[in-house]
Amino acid sequence: MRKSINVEQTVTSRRNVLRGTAFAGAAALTGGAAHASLLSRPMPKTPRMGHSRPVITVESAPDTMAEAAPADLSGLERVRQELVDPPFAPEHEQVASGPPKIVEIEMVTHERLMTVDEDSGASIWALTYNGSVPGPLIIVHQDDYVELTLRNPVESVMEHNIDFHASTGALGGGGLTHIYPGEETVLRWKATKPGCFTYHCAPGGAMIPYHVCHGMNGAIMVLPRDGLKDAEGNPLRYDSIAYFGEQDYYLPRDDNGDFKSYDTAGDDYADSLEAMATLVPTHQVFNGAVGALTGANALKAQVGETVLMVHNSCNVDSRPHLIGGHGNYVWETSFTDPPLTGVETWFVRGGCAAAAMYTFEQPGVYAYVNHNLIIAALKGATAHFVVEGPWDNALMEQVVAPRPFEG
Amino acid sequence: MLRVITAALAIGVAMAGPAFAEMHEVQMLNRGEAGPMVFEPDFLQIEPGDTVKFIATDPAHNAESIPEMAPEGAETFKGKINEEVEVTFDVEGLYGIKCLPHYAMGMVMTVAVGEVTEVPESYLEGRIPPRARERFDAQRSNL
Ligand SMILES: [Cu+2]
Ligand SMILES: [Cu+2]
Repeated sequence: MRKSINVEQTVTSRRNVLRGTAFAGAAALTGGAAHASLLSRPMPKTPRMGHSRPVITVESAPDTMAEAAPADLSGLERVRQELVDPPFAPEHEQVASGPPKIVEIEMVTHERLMTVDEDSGASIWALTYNGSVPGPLIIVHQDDYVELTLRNPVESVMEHNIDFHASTGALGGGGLTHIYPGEETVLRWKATKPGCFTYHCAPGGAMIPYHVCHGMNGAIMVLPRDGLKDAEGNPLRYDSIAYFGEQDYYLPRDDNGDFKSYDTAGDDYADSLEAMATLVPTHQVFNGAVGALTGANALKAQVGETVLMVHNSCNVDSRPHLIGGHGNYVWETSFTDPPLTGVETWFVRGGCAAAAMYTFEQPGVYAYVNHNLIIAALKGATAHFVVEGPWDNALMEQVVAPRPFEG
Repeated sequence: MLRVITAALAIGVAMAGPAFAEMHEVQMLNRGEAGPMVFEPDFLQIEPGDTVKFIATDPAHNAESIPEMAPEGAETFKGKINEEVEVTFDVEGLYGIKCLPHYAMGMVMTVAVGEVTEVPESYLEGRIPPRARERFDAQRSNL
C-alpha cells in the first residue's frame, strides 16, 4: 500500500514543487505552516455552470514585510476626514495647505437589505462601506497618507477587505485587510498618484465579483497638491462635487421571472454566481437604486456653478454624457495628464473612476446618463441635475413653439 | 502523515491494501441541511489511514486544513477552488477543515481520526470567525 502511494507521489513531484512555490506566501502569512504535497484531481466538468479557475489568490503579503524598516512619519500632521454619504463629498481643500498629512478615515462594512427598484420590488442584501452604494468618496492630496480603520460588525455574515487602486503593494491593501465579523484593521498607504481611483472589496476568487456586484466599491480622489489645472497650467476650481457610483446588479429571478428575496446577506450566493456569469446586469444604476438621483432626489445647481462630476465604475465600462451640457474638462484616468476639453461623451473604464468638470450655462433639467441609452432608460443609469437661474436666449431659443402645419 | 492522493490511486489502494482503509465522501455545497455554505456531512469519525474525498458538488468552494486545528505532526493540505481532493488522515486526533472563501460564513467541518474523546485545549483559541466557531462548537458535540 505504501509503495504504490510513493510511486504516485514521485510521478507528480514536479507539480508539487510548483504548488509549493505558489503557497509559500500563504504559509508566511498564516504562521509558516508547511503545506503537504497535494495531488488533487481537477473536476472533469463542473456540475452546475461553466467555471474557470480563479487566478486571484487570497493571501498576498510578501514575507519581507516583517523585516522592513519602519516608515518615519514623525513630522506629519494628523487630520481626520469625516466621510459623508454619496452623492456628496467630504469637506476638503482644493489646494493643499502645508506639507503632506496623515488623513484618518473610518469605514464600517455594513451588510444591509436595500431596495434596488421600487416598481418591481427588486432588492439586494447590499455589501457596503458605511452603508451606502457606492461607498463614500474619500478626498486627499498627492503624497498624503490615507490611514483607514476598517471595521466589520460582529453581526455581519461575511469576511471583507479593501483594495485601493490608488495604493501600491499587497493587492492594493487587499492582502492586509481581510477581516472577519467582529474584527477591525488599520491600513496606512501613501497616495503617490494623483487622479480618481476605485476602491473595492476583494475577499478572493468568486467572492470578489460577488462583493463588488453587491455594492462594495467606491472612489477616492487624490488631488494634485496645488489643485486641478488645465493643459496650460491655469488653475481649475469647482464649486461643488457630484459623486456617482455606477453599479451593475445581477439579481436572481424565480421561475415566474420575479426577483427573489433572501433572508440574510450571502443567501443569494449560488443564484448570484449564476446570474453574474451571464454578464447581463438586471440593473445598472447610479448610487445604489433606480431613481436614487432623479425626481425628488435630483441634484441641485445654479447657472454659473461649476460642478466636478466624479464617476466610479468598479466593474462595467460606462460612457457618461450630460444631456444638454458637456464635459468642459475631463480626466478619464489620472490628474497627471492634461484634461480632455469640450467633451461630448467620455469614458469610464470598468475598474476606474473619472472626473468631469462643467459650468452650467442654462437653467432646467440636465440628465446625466450612461449613453448606452438602453442602460440609461431600461437598466436605471440616469441621474438629474435641476439647475436654477436665468435663461440665455443667445445660447438657445425656441423660435416657434410646436404647432400644426398645413401642406 | 497525511496525504492527498488521486482517485485512480485510491482504487488501487483499496484493492491492494488491507480491507479496513475506508473512503468517506464529503460534499461542498452552497446550501445544505445546516443552512448556507456547508460541508455535508460536517462531522466524520474515521480510522487512521482512512481517506476523505471532498467533492465539489457546487462551484467556488475548496477544502483546506486549519494548521492550528490539527494534531501535532499532522501535515496541512490546501485544495484548490472547484477541485475534488482526497486526503488520507494517518495521525490520530481532531482536525478542523475550512472552505477558505466561505470561512466567515461558517463553512467548516470536523474530522475526528481514531480515538478522540476530548478537544485539545488550544483547539478553538485561534482566529476563528464567529459563524465558524458556532458550527465547530456544534460539531464538537458529536464526540
Ligand atoms: Cu466585502
Ligand atoms: Cu465554500
